[in-house]
Amino acid sequence: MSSMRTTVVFVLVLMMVLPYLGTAKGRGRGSKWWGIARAGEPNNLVSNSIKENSITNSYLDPDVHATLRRKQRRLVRDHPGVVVAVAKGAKQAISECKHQFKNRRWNCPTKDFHRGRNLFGKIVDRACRETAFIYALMSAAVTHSVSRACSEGAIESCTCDYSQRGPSGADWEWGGCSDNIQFGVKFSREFVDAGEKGRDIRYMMNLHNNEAGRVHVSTEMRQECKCHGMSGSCTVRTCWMRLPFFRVVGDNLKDRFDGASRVLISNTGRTPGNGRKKYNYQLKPYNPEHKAPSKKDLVYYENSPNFCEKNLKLGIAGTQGRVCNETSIGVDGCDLMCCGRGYKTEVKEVVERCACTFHWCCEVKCKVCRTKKTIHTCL
Amino acid sequence: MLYYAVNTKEMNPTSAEEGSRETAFIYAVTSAGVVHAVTQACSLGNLTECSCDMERQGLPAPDGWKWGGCSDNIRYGIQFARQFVDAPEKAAQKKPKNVRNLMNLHNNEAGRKAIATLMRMQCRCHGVSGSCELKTCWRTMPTFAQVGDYLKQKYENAVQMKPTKFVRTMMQDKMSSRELNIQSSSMKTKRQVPLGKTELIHIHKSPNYCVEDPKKGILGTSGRVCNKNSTGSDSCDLLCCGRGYNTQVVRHVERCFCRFVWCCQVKCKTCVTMLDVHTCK
Repeated sequence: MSSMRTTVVFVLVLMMVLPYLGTAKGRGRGSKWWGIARAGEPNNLVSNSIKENSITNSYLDPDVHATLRRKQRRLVRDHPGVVVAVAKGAKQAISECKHQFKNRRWNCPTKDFHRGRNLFGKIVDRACRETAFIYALMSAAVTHSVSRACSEGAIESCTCDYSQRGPSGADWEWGGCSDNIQFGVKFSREFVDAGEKGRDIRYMMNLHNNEAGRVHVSTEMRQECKCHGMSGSCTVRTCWMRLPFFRVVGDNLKDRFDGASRVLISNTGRTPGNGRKKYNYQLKPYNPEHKAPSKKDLVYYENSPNFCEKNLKLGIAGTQGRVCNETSIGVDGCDLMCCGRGYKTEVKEVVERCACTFHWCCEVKCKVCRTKKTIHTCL
Repeated sequence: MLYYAVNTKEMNPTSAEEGSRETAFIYAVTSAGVVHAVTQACSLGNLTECSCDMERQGLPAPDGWKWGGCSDNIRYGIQFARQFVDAPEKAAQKKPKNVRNLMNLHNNEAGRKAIATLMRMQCRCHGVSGSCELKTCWRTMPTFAQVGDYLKQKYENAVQMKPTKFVRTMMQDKMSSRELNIQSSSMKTKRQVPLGKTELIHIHKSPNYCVEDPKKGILGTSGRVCNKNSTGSDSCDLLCCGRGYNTQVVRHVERCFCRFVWCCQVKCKTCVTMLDVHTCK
């Protein structure tokens, strides 16, 4: 008992000291769970959760086990089926990130998962805009995916949201199965924010961005209705709340990425008086003339690197060899993408199947087309 | 004016060193400015050398009206600008094959032609209580904002020339008034359409104007105000070159709901609106 107490004290001291050691290594620690996206296929996870319920009640796939913190493991045990939703969400977030940034110098590169390594690489150690976006998107994805899984019945401890029962409109009433955003937000707060314990600015940044991701999901909830009258007429109408498409969340977060606010690193830490509440603080803008970040804004406090040249320290691959658009004046244009290094133009012959027709029964016949495509790549 | 027409672009009117699209616009709009100012001064009677264009004065027109009033003396303006603005270029042109001079001369002329093509007719009726029994018409210059818009359009569609070919054809033509049959070589499409005198031409590609470069006189777009809701060249996305933007809340105080109170006062309320202003990082 006493030995356990000393370990707890030791861990506590370690946790308080670690952020101040000055090394950037530990800064992205709360993000270890992202690795769940690469830990096996959903099918494996399902069978695991079944095993976990029936036999030992504590079994987790070792890969998953390694990515989770103690609190997260407990959450996964307490809500059977949730681990599948989290993994699905993480995957969704990665592909959304790649989609949103496909035309930019930083195109959201991910590594194959190795234990203890960060999924998005060392850029997460830097408190820049890209990091803010990753955190918000990951948290939003978990919220989204868990809320959906509830209404799909994939999680045992939650179900549809039936709380929308109050007064409804003139010609419709609440009914059906609303996506359980309340559970999603609550779960995401506990699960995603589990690693963000501390008083240093980096934790506050992570917490703020995580919360921003959740807010972007919950405020975009939309009403969906169905008519039940005779032959589909709308004499009786039931409505329920539905989650937004994740693309919408991604688009909005990308907008916030562009307008992200740089915040001040102050020694005061959290605003006095609210020490117990985890989310009750206001970050101050770096430039006092700028607008203070709202709940939906992303925050950061370090400048982004320019992502032009290879930088092993930050795990940046550089834009050499990237495909660019010759005619664009935006960030995907060769001028900006290649950072003024110039680009080479190649004409490649692309072999495609084309003019496909269906032949009875059951064949699809295609011709082979050879088209020439001009591809520009950065030097 | 220059700023008015180009202010949505990433460019600030600073550098004319390179033979880029922006340089072409600057030369054209400056030369047009001289024409405009001189011609206006003529019509106002501020100059001793010239006055209104009286050439058509009194000549009958087919539709029952008469030329009259003070037509803007565009011919004098153009002639003057040709001598004044082109003088340094012509002096330098004596060195053979100076591409930049040829480009400047062409764009100067394009600016002058812009005003000439935008000249329009204005009429006034003199009949009883403004009826049009008697009508006088005269030629008048466009406002300079219209000239700027027109040249901006030409700027967007400016043609890039390959220097060598450009010199050859321009030299053959000796800047004659005939339309120039030049093959513009904007790399891919070989343009066979004759190049009009009103087109702007340039010989270099524009830099991106994103990052400050004191050597080239580029200020960079950091701190520029951008439009969040636009998708054009003034959008935060393009103007800030992917660096993102800052948001400031600006308190906008203006007088509003003004009304006239007898006698003789105008009373207004002050309206305060908070506006979000976005500037590039």
